Amino acid sequence: MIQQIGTSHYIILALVLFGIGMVGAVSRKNFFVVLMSMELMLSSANLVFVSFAQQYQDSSGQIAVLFSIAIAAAEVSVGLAIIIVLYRLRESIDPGKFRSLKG
Amino acid sequence: MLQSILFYILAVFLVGSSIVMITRTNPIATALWLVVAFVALAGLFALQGAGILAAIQILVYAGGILVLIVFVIMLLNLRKRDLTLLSPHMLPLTAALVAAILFVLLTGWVVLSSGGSMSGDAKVNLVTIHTIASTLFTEYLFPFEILSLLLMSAITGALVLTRRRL
Repeated sequence: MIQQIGTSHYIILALVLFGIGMVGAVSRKNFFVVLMSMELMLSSANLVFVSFAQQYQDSSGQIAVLFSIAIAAAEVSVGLAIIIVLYRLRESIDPGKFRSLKG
Repeated sequence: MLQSILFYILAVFLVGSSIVMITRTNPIATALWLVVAFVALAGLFALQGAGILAAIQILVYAGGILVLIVFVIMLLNLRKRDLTLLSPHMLPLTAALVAAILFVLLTGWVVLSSGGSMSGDAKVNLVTIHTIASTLFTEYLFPFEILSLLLMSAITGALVLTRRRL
């Protein structure tokens, strides 16, 4: 039987999405994939915001998602600039090649 | 009923395309699968009455951010040896992460089955653009202005970072 879709369904879906994004961000050897996985994790947080805005009938949650999308755009532009600079430095997009950043 | 069917179709699309996305070797393929995931996510937004957010999700994410990412991937002119899938010492860590995710899922399942308090009512009412705008430009006007300042500084930062001589 198909249950009625509620907030908890959306929260579990967002958890799955966050987990997939986390595996991608930690285990991949490619700066671009790491950046895109972070976008995926951010989007799962947006999904939770929207579902709670729907549950409590409050549009503030949707405003928060609006802000979150704008901040994600800013983050991606700076992140891509950093990737370009790192590629010029070492000719590589492998995060493992930049161990000196650990200090 | 239709809402449930749409939810499951979109959820399968979203999770499937995300899993395919993080397992591609080619970054261009990753970006294109991310577009699929974001379109499914926009569908889920629209399913919850947030039609304006669904439109913004497609316009800004799929139309703006992903184009920027694909542009930079092509700009860097990567060679074949740059494109490897996994670093070997990361595999145990990944397995541990998957186990942690399964734990979280099971916890979520317990929460789901323990009571109906979390599930909202079936009625989805559409939040119009008028409601969003009247809240955004009265109650959230100051954060909105700060946001424009943030975007400005991000543009300046990206320009300064990518100059040839710092």
